[in-house]
Amino acid sequence: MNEAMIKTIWAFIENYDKSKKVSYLISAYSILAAAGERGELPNFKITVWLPKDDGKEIRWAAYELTNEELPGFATNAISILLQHQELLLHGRSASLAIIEMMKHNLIKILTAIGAVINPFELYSAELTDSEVREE
Amino acid sequence: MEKKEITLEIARKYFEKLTKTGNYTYLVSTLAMLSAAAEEGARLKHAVEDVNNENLNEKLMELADVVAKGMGKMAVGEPAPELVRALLLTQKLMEAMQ
Repeated sequence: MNEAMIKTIWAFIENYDKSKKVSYLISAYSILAAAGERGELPNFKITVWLPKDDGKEIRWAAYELTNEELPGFATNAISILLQHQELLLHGRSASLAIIEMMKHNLIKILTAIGAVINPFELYSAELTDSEVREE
Repeated sequence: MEKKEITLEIARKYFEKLTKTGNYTYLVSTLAMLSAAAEEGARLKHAVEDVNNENLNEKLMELADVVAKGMGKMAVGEPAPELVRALLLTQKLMEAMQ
């Protein structure tokens, strides 16, 4: 996975943080899934958390995730995000907790694959209005 | 700089962003970074409340759970005082991790 893709993923996370639009997290997972399918990710093994949602109370199941399983996990994560985006729109507050935990997992995966370019350098590099006009 | 030190540094920056903006989604990012740093070998210099190096990962997970669920409450206008306690404990853990 090249640096441009890594920067794009961090920018999607920042956009999610600012807007709470789940589509940004879905986009970030999509890029990771594609990189995983192309075999571009280094070896890793981390613990991630998936919801065991019975409709009343959320519980979490710990899951040992490796690079080989990442495309499947990302697809599952996207499915969870889509489902809870819809439920959140209908006012189910528990869905926000699940979405936030999927963001938590995403950041842990990025760290595990060494994609820890400092996101704050990326944010500070945003173009100013005058620079945009010049371009 | 070691990998875990970079991860801890980014956690600190996310925490700063939380205190500047009041947006708790940055607390989730902070905890994710602390959890990743722990998986990379970061340890506590000393115990913080009931958290020690044996239960660090488990307690970080519990905190992430508290924050995620607290944010869900806030989204529908319910009070979530546990978020403040989680924020303070996260700050103490972050300062004690190396």
